[in-house]
Amino acid sequence: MKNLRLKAARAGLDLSQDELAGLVGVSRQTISAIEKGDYNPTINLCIAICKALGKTLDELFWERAAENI
Amino acid sequence: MTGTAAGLVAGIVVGLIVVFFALRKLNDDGKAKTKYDERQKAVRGMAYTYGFWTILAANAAMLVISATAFDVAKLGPCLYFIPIFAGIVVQVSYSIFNDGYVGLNTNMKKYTIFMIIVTVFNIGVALTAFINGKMFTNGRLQGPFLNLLCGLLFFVVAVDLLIKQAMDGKEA
Repeated sequence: MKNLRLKAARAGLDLSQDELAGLVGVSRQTISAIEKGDYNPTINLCIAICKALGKTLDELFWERAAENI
Repeated sequence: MTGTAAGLVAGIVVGLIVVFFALRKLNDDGKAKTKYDERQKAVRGMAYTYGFWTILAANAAMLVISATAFDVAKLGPCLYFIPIFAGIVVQVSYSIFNDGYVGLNTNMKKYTIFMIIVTVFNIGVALTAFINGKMFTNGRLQGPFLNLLCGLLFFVVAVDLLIKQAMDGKEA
C-alpha cells in the first residue's frame, strides 16, 4: 500500500526524496520504495523519518481504517 | 610450498591490499567499508542467496557437461572459476536491479573510472596472451582466460548499471 501521508509530509517541508534520504541516512531509492509501499521499514527507520519530518509514528505509519477500504 | 603456490598466495595478498586501498579511494568518506542502508542489506542478502545457488547449479552443470559432452579438463584453471564468475554475475545483477549495489558512500564517478580501467586492463592482458599464443597450451585454456572473464564481468556490471540508470531516468 502506498504511503501518501509520508509523501505529503515530505512535500510539505519542500524536501526531495534525496534530501530526506540524506537526513535519515538511507538511499533515495529506499525512501521511494517506502512511499510506493514496496518496502516496509524497520521501526528505527520509521522513527528517524518521523523525527526528520516532525511527525509522529501514528501520523505517518499507522494504518487508518479508511485507507484499508 | 612450490613456486607456483607461493606466487598464487602472493598474488592473492597483493590483490586484497590493492582492493582495500582502492575501496578507500572510491568511497567518499575515505573508509574501506562500503555503507548500505537496511533495505539494501536485505536486497544484498537475497542477491548472495541467488549467487550461491547459481554457483552450485553451475558446478552441477559442469559435472553433467563433463560426463556427457565435453572434457572440462580442457578449461584448465578456469574450470574452478567459471561457476564462481556465474554466481558473481547473478549476485551483482540482482543487487543492481534492486538498488542494492551502489553504497551510500560510493563515489559513482570514481567507481565508473575504476571499472573502466580494470576492464580495459584485464581484456588487454587477455588479448596480449591470445596474440602471443599463451591463451592455450596443449589444447587447454590457461590463466589469461581468467583476465578475459574478469574483463567481461566488469563489462556486464557496467552495462547493468547503465540499463538501471536508464530505467530510473524513465521512472523519474
